[in-house]
Order: sequence, then structure tokens, then C-alpha cells
Amino acid sequence: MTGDTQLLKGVLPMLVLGALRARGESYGYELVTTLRQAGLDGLTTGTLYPVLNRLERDGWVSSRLVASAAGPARKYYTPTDSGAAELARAHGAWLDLADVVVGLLGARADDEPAAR
Amino acid sequence: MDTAFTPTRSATFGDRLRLEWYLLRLETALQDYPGRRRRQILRELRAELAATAQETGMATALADLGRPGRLAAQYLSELDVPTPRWNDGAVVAALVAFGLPLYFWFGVGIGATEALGVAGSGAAEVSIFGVTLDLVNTPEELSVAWQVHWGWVLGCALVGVVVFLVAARAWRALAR
Repeated sequence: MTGDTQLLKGVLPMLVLGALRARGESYGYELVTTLRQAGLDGLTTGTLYPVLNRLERDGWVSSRLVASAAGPARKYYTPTDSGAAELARAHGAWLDLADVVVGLLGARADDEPAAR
Repeated sequence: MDTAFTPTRSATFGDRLRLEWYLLRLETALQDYPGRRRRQILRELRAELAATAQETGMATALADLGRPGRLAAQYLSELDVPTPRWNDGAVVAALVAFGLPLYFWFGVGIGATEALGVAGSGAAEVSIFGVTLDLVNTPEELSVAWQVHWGWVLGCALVGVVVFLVAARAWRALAR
């Protein structure tokens, strides 16, 4: 699903914030696994880490280091209040856009009977 | 700092070597990323990769990140403004300022020495654009020596600066 990289790039920050809100707190690789299970099969850590870096720089997520029992400390992320507000805004904008798309194009094309 | 359980898969020497090699290539590709943040990215990635490798293995963890150049491009694209590519510009300017003249004088030296051989044999001293070439083509010796003066080096450096400034101006105009 969502093989369109430009589309994914646009919505990934929103999806990351959403996944973090659902989990409460998570680290990079766990987030990738969560998003893959949600349907973003082709998502890689190479795509996600720069987005997490950006979200933290913008103050939409905060982080803390959690030491593992055997291994280096790992960075866990949590959405901030401004991140939650941004998620609400982005989600609303996405729904508005989706309404326009569905209004113009109808429901999923692959749900319709094949044209002969 | 809290602690969490992580499934362990011990890192081998080869894993550490692969990780360091990857981070070195990434750091090179990130040369134009602001310094303090670049170091932070590399530090965090090192820790995250080491931790992820305990779950997936280092080969998978690195493969999932993709090529270092591509990852660097992703980080650079997340910056709000296009970053000046100082290193790329310096390399291009140095190639134009020093690489092209060196190639030119090397070609002239080889060609002139060959011409000496065709004309018979002997030695000659030729001066072109401030560089003196000592040519020898005899049955006993075949050699070319270049005598480079400070003026020539300064002239090339000046050309490099001009190329750098012109290219920077063009880059800014195209990046808008």
C-alpha cells in the first residue's frame, strides 16, 4: 500500500504522530514495525529516521533515552502538546482533502466493477 | 535514564566494522548539513543501529536504512532551506583551477618531448603560461620536468575562487 513516495512523504509526519499517540511512547524501529503492520509495507527506517529528526526539531515530539538491559541506550519519542495540535490540524486537513477526492472521483476505483 | 528489555544478538567485529563504514560514508555525504546537528544525527543513529541490530542483525538494520547517500539526501530534504553545498563547490572549483591546468601541462610536456624525439634528440626548455618545462629525449634519457612558480599557484587559486563564486551565484539562482 502507498507506493507513491511523494504522497507518503506528505502524510508520514501525520502518521508518525498518530502512531506515537496510539502507543504513547515508542522508538524508531518499533515505529517502523507499527506503521508496516498498519499497511505501509514498504516503509524503511531510512525514510522514518529523518522524519523523526524533523518532528523533534520542530518541537512536535520529545524524546528521552532508555537504556536497554544489554546494549546501548535507545531514544524513545512522545508527542508534545504542539505535536498533538499539529496532528489534529493535519488530520482535519487530510479528511477535507479526502472529501474533495471522493467527491470528484467517487469511492475506490478497485471497488467498482471492471469497465468493458 | 530508564531501562527496557531488548532481545540480544551480540555484535561481531564485522558488524562493528560495517556500522563504522556506513556511518563514515553517511558523514561524508552529510558534510553540508549544519555541524552540531550532523554530529547529533550520527550519534543517535549509531545508538539506534546498535540497538536495532540486536533485534534484526546488523546487515538487516543497515540494509533497511538504504544507501548512505540516499539517507543523507533525506536528512537534507527535511531542512527548511536548501543548504549551501560548500564541499561540492570546493571540489569543482579545485578541479577547474588545478585539475585542468595540470592536465594541460602534462599533455604539453608529453607532446613536446615526443616532438623532440621526432626532430632527432636532445634537450629543451620551454616556458608556457608561467610554467617552465625541462624536456629531455635522448637514447640515454627520456624525461619531463615541470617547474611551477608561486605566481602560477596563486593564479590558479584565484581562478578557483572566481569559479566558486560564479558557481555559487548560479546555484542560488537555480535553487530558488
